[in-house]
Amino acid sequence: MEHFNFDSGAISREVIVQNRQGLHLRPAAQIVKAMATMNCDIKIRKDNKVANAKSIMSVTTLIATKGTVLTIEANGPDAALAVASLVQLFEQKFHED
Amino acid sequence: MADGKSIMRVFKGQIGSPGIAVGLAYLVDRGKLRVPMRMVMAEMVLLEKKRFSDAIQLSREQLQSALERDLSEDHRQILDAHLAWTVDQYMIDEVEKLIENDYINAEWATKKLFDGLNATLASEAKRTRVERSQLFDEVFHRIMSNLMGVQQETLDTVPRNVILVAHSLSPADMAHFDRSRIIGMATDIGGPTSHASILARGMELPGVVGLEHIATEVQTGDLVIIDALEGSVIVNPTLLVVDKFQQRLSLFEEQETRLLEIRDMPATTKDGKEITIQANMEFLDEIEVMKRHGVKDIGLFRSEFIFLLKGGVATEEEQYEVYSKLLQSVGSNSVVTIRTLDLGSDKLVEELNPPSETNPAMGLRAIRFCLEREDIFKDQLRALLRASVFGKLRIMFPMISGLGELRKVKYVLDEVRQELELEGIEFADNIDVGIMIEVPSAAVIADVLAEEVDFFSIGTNDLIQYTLAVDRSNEHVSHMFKSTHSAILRLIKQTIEAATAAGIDVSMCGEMGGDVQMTMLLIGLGVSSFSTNPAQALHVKQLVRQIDSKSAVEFANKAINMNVCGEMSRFIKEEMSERFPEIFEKFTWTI
Repeated sequence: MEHFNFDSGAISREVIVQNRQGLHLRPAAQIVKAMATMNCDIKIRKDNKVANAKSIMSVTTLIATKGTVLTIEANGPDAALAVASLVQLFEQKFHED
Repeated sequence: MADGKSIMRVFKGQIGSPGIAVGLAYLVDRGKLRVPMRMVMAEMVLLEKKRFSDAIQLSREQLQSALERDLSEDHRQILDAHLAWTVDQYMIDEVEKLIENDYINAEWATKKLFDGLNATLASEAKRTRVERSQLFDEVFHRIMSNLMGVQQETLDTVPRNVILVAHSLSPADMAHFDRSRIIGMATDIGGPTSHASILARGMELPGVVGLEHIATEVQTGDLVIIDALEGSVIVNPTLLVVDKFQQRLSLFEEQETRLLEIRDMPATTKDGKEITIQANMEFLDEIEVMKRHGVKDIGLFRSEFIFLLKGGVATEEEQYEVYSKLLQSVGSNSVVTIRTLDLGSDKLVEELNPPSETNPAMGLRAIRFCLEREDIFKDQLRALLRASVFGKLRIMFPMISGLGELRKVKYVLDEVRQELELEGIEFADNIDVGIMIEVPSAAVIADVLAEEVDFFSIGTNDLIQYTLAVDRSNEHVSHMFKSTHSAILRLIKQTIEAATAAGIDVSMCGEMGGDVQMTMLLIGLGVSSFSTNPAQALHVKQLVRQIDSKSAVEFANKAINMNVCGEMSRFIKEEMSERFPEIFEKFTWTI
């Protein structure tokens, strides 16, 4: 489920929360840390809720348990890199399981 | 109320970190802040925003300075998470927007934001909700105090020799602690596994937690006694009580000094019988305490605390990390006995949807739970085996009740071994496998079980509960919970004989192992290995060094034939204080 919009440099990608604990404090901190230096906007969408992946407050309140499908959306020069590293974090289950 | 304040009151809580302290209370006011909420005029909006960003800046500096201290890894991670909030531009923007759009002061805007955050948690599962709302509270409190100019005492400037009394103490508070100024702590919330307790144990700071209302009932300057051997706090004690505790305290200290003299001496009876004394523990930070008390081996590591501490199922990696640290920090000459999960529906983590049981002690717990949830069990066994390369690991299974069950468990262990071999993962090939003897049926067939394991460890608490059918937490029958019932002694004796005949190790863990009243009796029954709380180990050793093993046998033979508990207890008490007057005169109160 990957599609590129070459006009705006926007990328979106679906991920599934795979770690048992879901997106709790530690994964949230890992996400924010990884995204801090990325030169792009990056959002995580759950249904109608959107979290700014650079904000610990925002990610912490996006309550996503195991099995939840999330959409990552990035826009900007580092968008591809940001999405790839975020997807990797999810796939590695935040080094938890 | 002034009169009421001078009346002696006793508060019951839980032991956070053992010890005794008598001193003046110093109230750390981390109670509810009265948030000033007011509308502001348009021209004040900029000023309010500036106040907010100043408060954030200050919060950041405070956290950074806390992080500069020498902290444990856990401690650091928590503070790092707090720090992440203070650099969260998104959060800062939200508050500034609230100030600007609603014309409200910075305090009100901050409160609005955090109230909103807490509301988003409503739909969440209880465990994560509690975890998150605690984090929100801590962050909120820091920013708000800085906004309101409330001096957040950093606790390194408190007067000397005080007892900290607080609603709760945060990890940041604990980092700023000047240990030399503080002699004890008492908090409303928390249990033995809360952060404050763990950190206090590492500092050997006597503390009682979970007192519920202590912070609202005590004022700075009140005389307070922390009895963290019993788990209570006495406020405004009478002079008589103070006297008694001061005596207890000086005896306690005197005893500790005297005990430390035998720290490096062997635990050998007067007639040369060697006795092993090992430590029971739950947390990595207890290793230091264990070493200070001259104990080399771990006789019981309660692995479920990794789960309870986390508040959820610990992963293989997380467990591997703890087990390897444990083995590495005790050194390769020390034995580390790790007991597999002993969780029951009464202490299952919420994530596992514990079944509601009318009788959890006899329900799906410990090894039964592990066989039911083989996925969790196998994760633990993998973590254990992988860590085994770092030292001398022994694996112990709790609550085994029969041979079929034991074989099933060993079969799963073999499966895990094969899996690791296939994956090419290394593990030690000399891991001893043993079981707890705590279910009466296991004690009865100890001779059969002894053929198939490398060691036994007798868990007296459960053995007594199951044998005498007494729930110790039920106040109507708890007086019947007695280690001096002859049935208990017979089961212990029989277990030891079976182990000796099969040539396997047997040790006593559980409270009875650390109860010095019982030491001679147990040696008389043939016990040659004890596993106790680290702080209790030297007490046992001190006694062992004065016992003659032959007269201990005579003593035990006499006691075991006393079929009335009261008669046996009296006999033991009298004999012990007669034989070892200088130990038991001073000891009576710790038992």
